[in-house]
Amino acid sequence: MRTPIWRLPNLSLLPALGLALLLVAGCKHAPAAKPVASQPQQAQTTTNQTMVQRTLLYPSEEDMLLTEFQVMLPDLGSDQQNMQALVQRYLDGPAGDGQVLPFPDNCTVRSLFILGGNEVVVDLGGPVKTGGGSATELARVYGIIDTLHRNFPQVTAVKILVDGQETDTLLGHVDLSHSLPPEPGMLESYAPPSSPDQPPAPSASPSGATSDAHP
Amino acid sequence: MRRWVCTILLLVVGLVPVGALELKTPAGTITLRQRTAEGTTWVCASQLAEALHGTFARDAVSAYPVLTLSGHRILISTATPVASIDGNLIHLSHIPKEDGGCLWLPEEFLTSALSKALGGGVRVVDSAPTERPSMSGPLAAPAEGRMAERVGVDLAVGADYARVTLTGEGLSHAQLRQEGQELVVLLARGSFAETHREVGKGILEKLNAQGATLRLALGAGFERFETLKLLKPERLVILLKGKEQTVAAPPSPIQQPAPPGGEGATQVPSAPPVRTQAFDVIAIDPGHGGTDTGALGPDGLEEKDLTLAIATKFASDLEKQGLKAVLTRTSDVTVPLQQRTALANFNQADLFISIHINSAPTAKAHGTETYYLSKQATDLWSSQLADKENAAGGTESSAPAGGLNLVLWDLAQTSHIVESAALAETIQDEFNTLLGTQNRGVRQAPFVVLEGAQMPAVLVEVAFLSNPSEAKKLSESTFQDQVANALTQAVLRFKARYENPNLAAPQP
Repeated sequence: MRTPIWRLPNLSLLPALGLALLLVAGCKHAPAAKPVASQPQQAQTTTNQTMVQRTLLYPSEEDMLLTEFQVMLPDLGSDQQNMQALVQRYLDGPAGDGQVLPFPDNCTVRSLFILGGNEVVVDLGGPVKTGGGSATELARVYGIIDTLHRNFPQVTAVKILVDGQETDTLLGHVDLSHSLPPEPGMLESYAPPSSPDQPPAPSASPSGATSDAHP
Repeated sequence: MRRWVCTILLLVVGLVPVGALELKTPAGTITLRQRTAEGTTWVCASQLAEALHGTFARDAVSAYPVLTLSGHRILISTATPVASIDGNLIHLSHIPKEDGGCLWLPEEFLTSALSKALGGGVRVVDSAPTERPSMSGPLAAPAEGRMAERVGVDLAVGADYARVTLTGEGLSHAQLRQEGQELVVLLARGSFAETHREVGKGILEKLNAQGATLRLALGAGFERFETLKLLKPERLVILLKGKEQTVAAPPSPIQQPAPPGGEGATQVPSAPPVRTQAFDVIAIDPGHGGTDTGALGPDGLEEKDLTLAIATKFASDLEKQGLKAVLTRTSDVTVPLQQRTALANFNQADLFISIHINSAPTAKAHGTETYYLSKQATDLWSSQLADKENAAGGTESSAPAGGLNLVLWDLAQTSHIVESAALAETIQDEFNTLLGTQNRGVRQAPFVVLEGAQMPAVLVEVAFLSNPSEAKKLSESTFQDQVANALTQAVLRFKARYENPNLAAPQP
């Protein structure tokens, strides 16, 4: 296993972290490691539970770039719980019309941690390493990262673990040995910078800014 | 029995005898010290070089050990079980190990690499038992033949330059002076590996290294020289330049840093930076392999087989164009991602092209896309290198040089990203023209296989195996030929612009 480039505050104590992840994974409502403020777009009250509108970024079946899908999820109280529920909903699907679910069935969030305020560790379980193709892998990795960032803008880096362990890649391409920032170039609506001093468009966006919102 | 008792007693008191290996070569029978570990016999590279009147030094660019024997250059990796003779890759059973000032080569090296270098006929005649016959752990240091005791001399000659690389301890105190038509290097301590070369190339006529003195007889074409001191390992590079020439520096990122790119470091240039060294080695990486099948398609199609088929055709096409292709795998084997770029670096490839077949959880997705490394991933890679430098440093003298090298390396990586973007655009252009597949564009991603490449590097996703129409095409030999041709044309176009920067670059 490669040495992680980006060092989480406590990642050098990976065995301890792994143990902590396992312990927290066994708790139904574990407290957040560090509370941070979320920015829900909309809140409603249904019976006794507050519902919050969240945006899931699933790949379009046409070009595998991420498009929006609005869902309502219960507000569980803490950001850690809401983030974990958000990612679990992402893994479970369903996606919206014209979108595809990049993960196979039975994938789970074993645990989710907020570290250092802006950095999140997501521990995935199930057949998340099944399948192939960089398009699928990019959609899986950035589907989670960009969705977290869209709903919790303070999240600027995400580290993905699998079964409590660091992993080089999910499907043999994307480097997961360190945390990754959100990638706006994965969004179908992404408009590449027009300045000649800017890098080329990191993603092909043939259809321009179309939003597949499904409230 | 008595022999073993003696051996055990000697091991106990630390006086380890040296086992002997008798080797029959076309140049005669030689005797080498040997050790046994990991189920094979090992010999010391510097002693092998000495016995065969060759040289053993460090390559100035890659810092890999280099054996020069009978005019053949054997580059040896200490990270992967490979060596290359004059650029041809040879897989070994074990990774050569550095220990106690000696580079230990597995016996297989003698019968494969050495045999090729000496024109065949190399065989082990006798192998006496050695000390520590079954002990695990690091190989023990030999009592003699330490690489550090001799300063290695390596020579590379081009049409308009000659490069002499000296490798060994104490070079920072060496004196270099010009005496008429001679450049003289005097060591303050130690001595040179005895080397005599008749070059006769106009710039450098003759090289003689003996004792503590190296003499370079300069030719009529010589104009000036430059020196560069490098650490880890300690090296002194002397560049002899001819008249009316441009740059003749070695193809090293340390030698050729690009201008700082600042915030806009990943911009696509109007043309690649000017470089004048030879452009002739292309590293081709057939994606996946072995236990890693990659994407799966209909009728048992596997990505790993398709990438190998295309890569093999691509390599063949390049060879027909006079270019050298180095494949990271030539059969259905598992090759770690980091090892793939390491192989490209090891072979000092000018380009690295990783070939993949895409897949998506929808049959609709189709088309070709080409990736190069994102700047963010490059930055992280640099910081990882910095961590390694810091961890490996610790001496007052090495830290600043390591830091300087790191900065230059980082600048070179920025240059590579710019060139990678141009290469990716060129490949997409050719795919549009020759294949007619949908252009999904040039993109950036933090792909492991592109990290650490010391040359422009791209990953091509040829088409989607999950799309029935494209899967059918991918399985056809004629389509694979077309893909190989498109990639070859892209390389030739890039090479042309590389050699003539005034040619127009593809527009992003």
